[in-house]
Amino acid sequence: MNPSIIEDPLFQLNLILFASIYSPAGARIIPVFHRAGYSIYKISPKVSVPPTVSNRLQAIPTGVPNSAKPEVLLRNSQSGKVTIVECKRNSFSSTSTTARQASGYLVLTDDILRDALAEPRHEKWTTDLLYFVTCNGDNEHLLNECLKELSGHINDVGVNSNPFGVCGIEQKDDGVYFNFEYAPCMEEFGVQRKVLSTQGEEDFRTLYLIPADVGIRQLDDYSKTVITNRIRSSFIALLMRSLPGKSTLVLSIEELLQRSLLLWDIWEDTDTKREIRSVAREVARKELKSIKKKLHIEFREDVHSFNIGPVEPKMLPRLTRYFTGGAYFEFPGQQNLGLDN
Amino acid sequence: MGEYKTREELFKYLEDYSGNRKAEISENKTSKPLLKSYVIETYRSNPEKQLDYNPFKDIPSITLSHQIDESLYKINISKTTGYLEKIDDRFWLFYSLDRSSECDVLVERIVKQTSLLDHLWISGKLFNVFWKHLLGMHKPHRFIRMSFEFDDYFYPRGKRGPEDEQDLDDVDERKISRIGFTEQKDVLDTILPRLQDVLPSFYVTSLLRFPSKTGSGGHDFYYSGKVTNRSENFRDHRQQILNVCDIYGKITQQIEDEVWFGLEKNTLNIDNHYYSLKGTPVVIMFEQELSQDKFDNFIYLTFDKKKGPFRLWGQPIRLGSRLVHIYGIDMHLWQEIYLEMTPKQFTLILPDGTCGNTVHRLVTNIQRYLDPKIKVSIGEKDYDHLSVSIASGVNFDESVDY
Repeated sequence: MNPSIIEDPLFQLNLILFASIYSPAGARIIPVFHRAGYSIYKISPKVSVPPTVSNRLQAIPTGVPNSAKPEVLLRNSQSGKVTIVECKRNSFSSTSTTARQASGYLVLTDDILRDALAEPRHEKWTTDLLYFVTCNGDNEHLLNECLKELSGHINDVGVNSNPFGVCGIEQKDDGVYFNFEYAPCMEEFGVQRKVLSTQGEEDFRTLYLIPADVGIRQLDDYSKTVITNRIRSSFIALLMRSLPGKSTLVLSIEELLQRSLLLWDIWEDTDTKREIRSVAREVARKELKSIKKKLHIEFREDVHSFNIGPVEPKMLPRLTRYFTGGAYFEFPGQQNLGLDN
Repeated sequence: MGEYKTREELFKYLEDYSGNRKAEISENKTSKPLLKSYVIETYRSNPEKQLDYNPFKDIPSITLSHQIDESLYKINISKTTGYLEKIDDRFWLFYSLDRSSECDVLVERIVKQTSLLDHLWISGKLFNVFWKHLLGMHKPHRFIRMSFEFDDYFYPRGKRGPEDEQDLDDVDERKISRIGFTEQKDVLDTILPRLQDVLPSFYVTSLLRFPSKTGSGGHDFYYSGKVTNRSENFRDHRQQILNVCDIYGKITQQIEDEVWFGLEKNTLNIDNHYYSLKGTPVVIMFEQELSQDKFDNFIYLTFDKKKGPFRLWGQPIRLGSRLVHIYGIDMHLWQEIYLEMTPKQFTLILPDGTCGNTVHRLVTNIQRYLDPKIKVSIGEKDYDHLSVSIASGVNFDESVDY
């Protein structure tokens, strides 16, 4: 087994997403949150901390950011409670920049979060904050203590803070578990719940619904492969679905990345974004290289797009064979056992 | 087929033709092939554009030689002639009087040439829904024909020991089960569950005859959307196909509503917006785990060798011997599909806009080539229950609409 997988916030995020959507009994993923009435409410919402609150919090050691962007908000359909979810590899100290971010989540309480998300005021909201962290040594305990301290500072200046909890992600021989020992706000789950069944695989991760996260700068090999494969698939699918055509087809790199990476247009890390844009361009160029002589293709650097000239219908079989290798089409297909003749 | 200027003229000819062939069947001699109708599904990525769009007009091998009315065309393909009728935004019917050996191949070739067309895929599970409907519609003594086919295509072959250790039983072979019979409805109803208990191949119906509502004989529905008229009545033939299309279309629409996966952007103001996740996975679970060899063979043949019936494309990410991820393409329609595969279950993520027909096709092919006995979940809904509840809302017994 590879312990580093459960430490990866991207794995954690995708596991939480899958735990919040339906899976049938006996499936690899046990959707513990979904079964308890939770569903995914928002992903990466950027919400403002109201000035009336942030002004009063100038005095606390960490300060509070003007806006916060938690990874996920879960909402419980039975209680109506909204849980702010954030994933972390390890605990952090109360003086770090991450603690400042945590203070931002702690003050997004009940109606403050409701108003920040422009939800109707006739709804009465209850909220809490749940951190996910790898079960490793004292991680859960230390993070819990840290959140306690941060809450204390906030309460000291007369501002309410969210109830909070720390959920440990633990890997055992038969699967991955969520530990709720330090998460009193999620008491309906007891101490521990299995969320992913494993059978001794070295790498047991789920599909990545979200292959790259807004705030993550360093991607592991799996994420890089997923990003490349998704860009490649979307590019070929977009191209082949658009052909044949009598006019010039414009394939924009931005459109391609939005389709394949989902959160692309709210990604803030410009360096990684530039790197991935260049990966997309290379993937597209590579795919188009061998058919360049047959099609009229031009790449426009200024608008990051490929212009592909009109394509005759008779070109389609050739393109299909090029992209797929052709063996698929040798399968005999529908040779029905019939009595027609 | 001759030249027909109106729908009535053509349908009259097909009615007479069907009557003549039925008379010949009764005498055990047919001088000409039976009428065959092929249901072809069109992908509706852009329904607005699709309203008056004819997906057949851009296929190089097809000539639309004559438009009879706004939804009926005479077409020439290779050396043969047939008629195309647009049923609605999703379905077209191709009528042919040629031999199956010719028109089966022709339709297959047409569908492969464009990402806009696909067959109708009636899985064993969906056939079961139609079978249950037939049970309530006809008298117990009506004869019904059923055929079953299971091709264990991914059974690992060629794994033989060293030559000096081989015995005569150590041969390169696989199972292909094909069986068909005609029985009275109530007899079939009694024996079918028993047969399925003994041999799971009986879950893979490949042909079901819908008895005619106007006389003897019926309409042979094949799993890939071909329907052969073995009755004397063309209008009943067409009507029964339309009923199946109604049910199939509603199920497909429901699947699309449930599974289309994506993020919905909601804007709070210029700077602030948030996303909601929509869609759920399709989970296909095998009653018994696939053997490791069979699982390996499926991945190897489908994705590495790009062979076989599934026509899925993608680079397999092998996370272990029992866990493989694909972020690839369904090549029937050139649409993205993400798959997690283990010997116990396949999980599918279909991005926003993917045609729901992909689910019917996968279920059909998995039952037919991998494992006849599977459980399919469309989000929280069971595929069988979903199909039954939708089918029960469609009245099969409605009067024939000419």
